[in-house]
Amino acid sequence: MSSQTRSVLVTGVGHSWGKKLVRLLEKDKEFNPIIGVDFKKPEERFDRMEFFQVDLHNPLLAELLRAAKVQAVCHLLFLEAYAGNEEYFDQNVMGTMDLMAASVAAQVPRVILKSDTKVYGAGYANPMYLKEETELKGRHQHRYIQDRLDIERVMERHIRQHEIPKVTILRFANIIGNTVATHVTRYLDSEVIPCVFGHDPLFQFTHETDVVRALYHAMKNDASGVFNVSGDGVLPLSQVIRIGGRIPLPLTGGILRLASAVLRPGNRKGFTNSIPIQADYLMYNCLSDTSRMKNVLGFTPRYSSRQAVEDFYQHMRLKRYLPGDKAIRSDPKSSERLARYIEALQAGHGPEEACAPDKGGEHGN
Amino acid sequence: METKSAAGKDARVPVVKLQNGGEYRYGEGVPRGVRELLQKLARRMRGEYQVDAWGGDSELMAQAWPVFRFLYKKYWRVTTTGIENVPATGRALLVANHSGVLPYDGAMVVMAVVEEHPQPRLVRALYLSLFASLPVTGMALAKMGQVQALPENAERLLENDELALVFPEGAKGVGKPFRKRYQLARFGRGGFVRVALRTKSPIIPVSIVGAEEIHPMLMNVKPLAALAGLPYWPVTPTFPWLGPLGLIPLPTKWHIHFGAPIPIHEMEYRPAEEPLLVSKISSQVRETIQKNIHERLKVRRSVFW
Repeated sequence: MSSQTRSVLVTGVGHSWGKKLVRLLEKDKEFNPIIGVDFKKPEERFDRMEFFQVDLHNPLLAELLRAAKVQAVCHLLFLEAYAGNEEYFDQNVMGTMDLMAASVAAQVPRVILKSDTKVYGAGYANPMYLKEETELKGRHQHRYIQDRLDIERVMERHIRQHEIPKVTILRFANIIGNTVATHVTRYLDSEVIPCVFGHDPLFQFTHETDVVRALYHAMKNDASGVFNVSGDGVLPLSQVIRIGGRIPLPLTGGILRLASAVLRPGNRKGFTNSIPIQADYLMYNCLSDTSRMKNVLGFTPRYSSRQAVEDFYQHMRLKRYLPGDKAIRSDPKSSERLARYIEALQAGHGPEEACAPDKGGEHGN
Repeated sequence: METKSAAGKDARVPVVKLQNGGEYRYGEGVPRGVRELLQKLARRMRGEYQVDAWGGDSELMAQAWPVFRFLYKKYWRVTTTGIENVPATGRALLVANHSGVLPYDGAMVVMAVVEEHPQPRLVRALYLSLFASLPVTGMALAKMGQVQALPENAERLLENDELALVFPEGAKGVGKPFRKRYQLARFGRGGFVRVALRTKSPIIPVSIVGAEEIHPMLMNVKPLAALAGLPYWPVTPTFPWLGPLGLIPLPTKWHIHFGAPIPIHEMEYRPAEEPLLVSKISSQVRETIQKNIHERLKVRRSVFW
C-alpha cells in the first residue's frame, strides 16, 4: 500500500487540529490528493490541499467521497461548547452522523476520529487505568463531554451495523500545548487554579504535537479499533499546579459542582472560565491504559505527561513577555513561507505558487 | 530514604571567597537539618518530584515512615515470622485476615515486609473503594502507594510483578463485633483467587493476631452507619465516649505470620474448571489462615504482651 498514493479527506481544516494534520500530511507524498472540508475557511494557504467550504450536512459529501475514491477520512471537526448550544450540537453530533452515513454509502475503507478519554468519566469506582472496552460513563452535565459521548455512540452504532468503514478512534488524554486552546489549557493557565479540598487526582497529558503525530500515524497505518493515547507517566494535580507556579484554590466538591453547574462557563473571562472541566475530574482519576497504543497501534509519544506540562508552562511564562496578538510584528511563519516562495521561483516554478499575505498564526481558532 | 540523597546536593551551594582569605558557604551557620528541610520544601514547591504509576509519592512515604515504624516497633511490638515466604522478586498475592475497626493491619503488614525482609519491598495494600471516595483519606492512601481494591487494579499490580495485599473479608472483617474476634468472616466471592489464577501468582496466606483487640467493637449502630454512609458505626469502650481520644487504639501485642505460598502459578486446569477451583482455593486459603491464627492463639498468654 505504501508505494501507491492514497486519497484522504480531513474534516475541520478551518480549525487548529485539521490545519496541523494537513500540514503534516502535505509533507508525505503518499497522501494525494488531500481534500479538506470545513464550514470555516482556513486563514492560511495550503500547498496541496483541495479545500471546500461545506459543512458535513452537505449531500454532495457522499458523491465526493465516491468520486475521489477516498481511502481514509479523518474526522476532526469538533466545536468546544461549554453551555448548551444547539448549533454546536448540530455540527458535532449530527455532522458526524451525516459524515458516517456518507462514508458508508461511498464505502470508504477507513474513518479516523479524534476523541477524548474524558468520555470514560471520572469516578471513585474507576479502575486506576481504564481500558478501551470500558463502559463510557462520562456524565451528561457538561456539553463538551456530552457531545464527545454522543459522537462515540454514533460510531459505536456504525461499528456494530457496518463492516465498512473500519473505524479508528483515538481517545486522547488531556491535550495541552501552547498553540491550542482547549478546556484543559484554559484551566491550567489561570493564575488561581480551583481544585477540590482533600482530593488530588492523577492526570495524564498529551502534548499537541503528539496528537497530530498520532493522527498521522493512524492515517498511515491500518490498525483499526479504539486506542487511548497519552504521554507516559502520571502527575497529581497539585504537582501540575506547582510546576506551573500557580496558586491552588481548594474548594469543597459541593461548591465547585455548584459553581460549574450554575455559573455555566459560557463567557470567556472570569472565574467560571477556570473550571471548564467538571468537578468529578478534579476529584477522581480518569486515567487510561495506553498499552494498546504501544502494542497494537505502534505509536510512541514524544512527550511524557510531565514533559508536556513543563513545555506548556514554559511557553505560558514566555507569553507574558511577548507582544500581544494585536501588536505589529512580522510573523516568523510568513518569513518561512516567503523563503519557500523565493526558492520556488528560483527553481523555475510559475508564479501560481504565489500566496496571499498571511493573516496571523494559528492562534484563536 | 530520599532525605539522604537531598543532603548530597550540598556541592551546589555557592562558595564565596572572603577578603581575609577564608571562604563562606551559603547557608553556613544555619543548622544542617533546617537547611535540608528548607531545600527539600523548596524543591517540593517547584514540583520536582516523581510519583509512581499509582500516585505513590516515595518522599511523603519516607516522611510518614517514622510514625508507622513507631507503631510497628514500639506500640504494637509486632513479631513477624515466616518472612522468608515472601519472595524477594516477582509477583505474589498476600491474603490476610482483616480486623480492628480501623484498618491498621494493612499498614503493619506493609511495615513487616519493609522492616524484616532482607530485600525490602513495597507491599501494595488494596483498600476498600469507600475510602477512595472520601476526601483526604483516599488522597493520603494513594500517596502512600496503596491501591484501591478492584480486580483490574490487582491484576495490573501482579502483572507488573509487585506484591499485592488483599483482605477478602473486606468490611465484614474489619468491622466485626468483639465477640466474633478471630473467627474469619466470609471470603467475598473469591475474586482474589481469580486474579491469582489469571496472573499466575502464588498466594501467601498472612495471619495477623493482635489487631482484633485494638478497638474492641461492642456494638454496631447500624442507623448511624447508614446516615454517615459508612459500612459500620462502632461503639467501643472508648469511642464515642472519649471523643477523639477514643480513636487511640489499644497497645496490644501483635504477631504477623506469613504462611507457605500456595503455588497457584504451577496449577494446570481447563477453563471450565475455574469456578470450582476458585471456590476450592478460596476455602483452602481461609482455612490455612484460620489454622495459623489458632496456632498463635494457643500460645498467646496475654493480649498485651
